[in-house]
Amino acid sequence: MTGVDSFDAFVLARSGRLLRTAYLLTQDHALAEDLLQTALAKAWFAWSRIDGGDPEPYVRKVLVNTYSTWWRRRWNGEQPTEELPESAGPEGLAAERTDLWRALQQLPRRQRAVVVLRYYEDLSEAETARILGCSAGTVKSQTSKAFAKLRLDPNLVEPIHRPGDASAVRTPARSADLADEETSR
Amino acid sequence: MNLTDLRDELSQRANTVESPDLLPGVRRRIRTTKRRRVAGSVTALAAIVALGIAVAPSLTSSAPEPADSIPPDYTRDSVTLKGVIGTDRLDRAWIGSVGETRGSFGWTPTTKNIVVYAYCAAPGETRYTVRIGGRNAVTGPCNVAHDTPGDTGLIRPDAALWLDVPLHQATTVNVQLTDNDGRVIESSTAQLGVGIYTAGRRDPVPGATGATPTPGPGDREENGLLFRAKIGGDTLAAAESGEPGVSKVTDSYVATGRPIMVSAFCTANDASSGFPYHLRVVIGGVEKISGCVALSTDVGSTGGAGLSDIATPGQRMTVTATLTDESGREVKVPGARIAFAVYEKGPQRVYDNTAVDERREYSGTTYQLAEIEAVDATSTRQVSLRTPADTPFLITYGSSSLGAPVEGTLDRPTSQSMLNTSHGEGGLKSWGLATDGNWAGPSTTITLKITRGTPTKGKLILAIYTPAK
Repeated sequence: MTGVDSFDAFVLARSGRLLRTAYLLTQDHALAEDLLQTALAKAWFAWSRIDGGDPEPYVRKVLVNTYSTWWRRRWNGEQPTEELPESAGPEGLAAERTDLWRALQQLPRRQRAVVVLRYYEDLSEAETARILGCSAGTVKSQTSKAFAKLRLDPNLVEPIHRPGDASAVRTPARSADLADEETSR
Repeated sequence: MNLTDLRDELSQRANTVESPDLLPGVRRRIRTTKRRRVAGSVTALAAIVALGIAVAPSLTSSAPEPADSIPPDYTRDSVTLKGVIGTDRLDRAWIGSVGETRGSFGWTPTTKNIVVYAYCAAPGETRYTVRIGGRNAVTGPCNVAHDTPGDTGLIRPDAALWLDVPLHQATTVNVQLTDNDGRVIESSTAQLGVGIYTAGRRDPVPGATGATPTPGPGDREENGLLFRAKIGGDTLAAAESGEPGVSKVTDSYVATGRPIMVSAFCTANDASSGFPYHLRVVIGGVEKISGCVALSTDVGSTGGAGLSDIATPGQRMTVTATLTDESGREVKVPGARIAFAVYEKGPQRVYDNTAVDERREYSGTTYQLAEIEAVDATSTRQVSLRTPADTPFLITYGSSSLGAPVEGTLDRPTSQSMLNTSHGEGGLKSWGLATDGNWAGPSTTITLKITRGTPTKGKLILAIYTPAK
């Protein structure tokens, strides 16, 4: 199988799941398609280096980093606010979920990426940290802050225990990590 | 809320994503990136025009719509179609990939008041054409930024398009890149986008209500077209329309000897590039007008060709409109609609070769002649009138044939209009007649005057209309 063939096969096989991740990040179907196409095109130019192993982690990393950096510079349609508006929705599960979706929309991009990678992709803190290029402590602190904004119980921020995943341990957040993340918004 | 809620929410939202075939788009993007790496020039154009389409909502006097109904922006390939432009609100959007010079998408119209904004970035002198339901809707030059709400792509309820595109039924919108002659072309670096917006409120032009005329006795409606019995002071004498595809229609009337105005309606060119078809209107055996456009389904509201001395009182005049190709051969064009209307003019003031209507319709409002001055241009170089206070009014100004090159101005307190005989009809050396609408205000003096040249004949004409009671 040539590089072209393996790339095409990868896109056909994996783009569905990656597109869902992109949608959770952008909350817009067209933007998600745009984001994934950009990430896949970037990955193509590195395909000779990543082909042979599993390219998905690399593509996901490109996807998330494109979302949080290139997206910020090139797309001006979104202006996340630091503070969430007070929730005043009606009672009931459907209303809560609508509120939750809106609350996710209000998260800073890095925090939204952390939530999506950890609680949709089910990645560990260490895996999430590798994708985002930060420490596991930063992932944890960002998760905690995101939960506070989402009005979830911060006590729910527990590491996902996977067999053989030694990195899935509770790590105290460092103030330096927090400062670094705040400036990246 | 708890962690389970969060996981459920993410999972359910993710499951709303369909899985389109992304490979063609990715390949296009790879090709584009390669080209950019080699040439590096395409990026600049795309970025410049992308900024152009990322229009900001303009400030208008209109009250904003409720925040919860503001449509979101639509972004793809770093091109953004704003959710709101002025008071226009995005209903459907499409943005193609670089190199995609033709595109189509489905759309279901819910209103007959829309604006089509197109995005077109392409090298050279190129144009875009947007078709809705197979009919030409909007065309324009590429590489022009849309930074304010515009009327270029405004499609009003009286547009011919709606005859073939019913509300609440799905239709197809096509966009394509063309050269200046309307020929479809390809370009590996071009990018197209279309936003269909629900048109917001627009300020009427001064002196005009823009209102839809109220139905009157004797109005006729046929094949979706309206033929009003009276427009301003003019009276409908003859009219006929055909079913779609009909190539010839005929009617007749008994002339009173008064001048007439002939309006024609023709959609044959709406599905073509260029203007290959003509609607030739023959009155009393003589071809009087030729062309093929469909400006309004309210036939006659957009004016027409004025003709005088074509019949004696009591003479029966047969009017025939025939759809032809450029060689004059009668042709049938599937789906094309043709019609004509003949109006006999109402009372007029005639000065030499120039007639001034005593009663006229101006963008939905009927006005009556209130005051008029017509002075000998060989002996008087200027004429003035006082405008009425506290009422909208029209100013009609110009001249009959002056016999020599003459320049002039219409001076108002806040503006000035230039007049030149070179703009008049060939050989007449006339300023013609122009009409401006004005909002109500305090009374002022307006002056029509000659600034250069010496007329050898003719009259300077200055008139004021006020709303008809």
